[in-house]
Amino acid sequence: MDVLEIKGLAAGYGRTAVLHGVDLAVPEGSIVVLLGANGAGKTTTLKSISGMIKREGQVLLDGKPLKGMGPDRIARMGVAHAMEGRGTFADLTVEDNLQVGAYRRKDKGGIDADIEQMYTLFPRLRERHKQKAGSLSGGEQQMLAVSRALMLKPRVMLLDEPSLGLAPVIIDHLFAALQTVNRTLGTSMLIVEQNANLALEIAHRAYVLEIGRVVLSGSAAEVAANDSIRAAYLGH
Amino acid sequence: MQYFLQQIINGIGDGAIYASLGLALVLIYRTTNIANFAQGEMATVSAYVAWQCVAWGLPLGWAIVVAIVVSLFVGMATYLIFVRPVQNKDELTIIIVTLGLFLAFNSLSGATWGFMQMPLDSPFPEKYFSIGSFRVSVELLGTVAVLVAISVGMFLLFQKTRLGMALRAAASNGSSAKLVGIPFTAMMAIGWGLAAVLGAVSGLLVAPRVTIDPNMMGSIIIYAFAAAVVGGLTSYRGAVVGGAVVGISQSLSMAYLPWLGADLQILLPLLLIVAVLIVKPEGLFGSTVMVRV
Repeated sequence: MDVLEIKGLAAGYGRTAVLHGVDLAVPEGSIVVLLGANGAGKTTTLKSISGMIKREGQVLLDGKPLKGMGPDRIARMGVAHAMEGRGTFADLTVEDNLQVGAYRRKDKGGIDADIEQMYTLFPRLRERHKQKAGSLSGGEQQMLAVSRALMLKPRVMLLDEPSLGLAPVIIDHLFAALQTVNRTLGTSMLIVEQNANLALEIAHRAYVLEIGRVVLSGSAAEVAANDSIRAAYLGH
Repeated sequence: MQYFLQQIINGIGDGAIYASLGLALVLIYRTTNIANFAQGEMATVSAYVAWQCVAWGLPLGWAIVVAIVVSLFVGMATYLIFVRPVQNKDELTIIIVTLGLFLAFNSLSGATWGFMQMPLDSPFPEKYFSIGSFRVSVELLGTVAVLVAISVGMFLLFQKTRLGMALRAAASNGSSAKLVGIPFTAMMAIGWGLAAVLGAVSGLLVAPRVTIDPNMMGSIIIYAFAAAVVGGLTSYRGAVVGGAVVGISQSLSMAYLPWLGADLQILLPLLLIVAVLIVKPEGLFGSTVMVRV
């Protein structure tokens, strides 16, 4: 069963079309990675799924179409989008950021338990839980952005360039954490990532986007073994 | 010395009114990043609504309740109809819109209720307490009590409730707020509605002192801006302290600088704004806004 299914997705900015009919699917409990060069339409794909820009075509969450819904309604349906550039609430504390992340939920006890779980996953956030998010380092903000998206208890999580601007050690930690979350909570993820090597390591499936179209898809292992992909994205 | 302290006590009463209108300005500035020049005129309309209810035979208490509820909806409607379409435009456009709203609400009051001065009773009895050799009116204590109640209420709302957290998140980062499921437009409208309620409270406190006319809040909005700016424009605490500072300094200047005359007393809050902005541009309690380039 696919948590998220996208058929013939077309979108753009003003008159500039960026996506020309993208089809992809995120199976329940899997990590799917979306690869592609700059300008291929990866970020646009995520933005049009979460309703931040206008789109044509179908986006189905658990088989239900997300048609004509704004980003806030789509989020309440269970789509968590962690934007590139992090987008934390800079003048709220770390703890409040996590609380806000759980806005759509009503289970007070579950929320507190999940905040505790985020602190276990990212001990740095526990150390800084009373600090304003704006005062965190880039790596800590990224951890916070991912944690906040998880607090929504999403059906599917959209992650845009989670490794951008982070030190290699922190990237490793972050991706290990994503894998842990996926394995323990079964959270489905659609990840856009420049660092293709790393992303393919934790992913189950992969799609390659070129100029607004899917040009290749398959299991992560198949895509990683593809010669042209190795030359273009993996650097070996 | 006693005269001096008595002036300070008097100043606190005025300061509480500036503070409550200043809180409305801070609330709108924080949620929508807009300096709402029409806040005072909206408060005047609220006072007129209360007056109208009394004229129709409602007891004062109910008239106040009606005025506050009407203000809530007027504030929300103002945002949805006039402010929302320009919210992402440049600052100058937004300033023109709030100045336009200033004129619109001012004319609305004049056209509906005329320019005669209308009396409105104070909700507080006209009594004085004598504490030692000081005289403190019930009205002053009531005004301060109202301000304290507002401040505590706002603190509880913003820090302890789910709605308050959503309001803070929407003010902090609109697109991220949407992505966690917060209905952004509704939050902005509620912010404007709550600000209009705070404004209404200040209008209802002012009206019994000066009688209602369409220009009743004209100088008070300037003092309220002085209070908000002295406090840093983003800080609720700053608006309350700023209100007290402006109220007390005004009262002292009237007592000790009588040669300024009634008309020039308004210079003092303006000098205060300039002085604070020179020494501490972010205000007494404001936070510096960092812009990445």
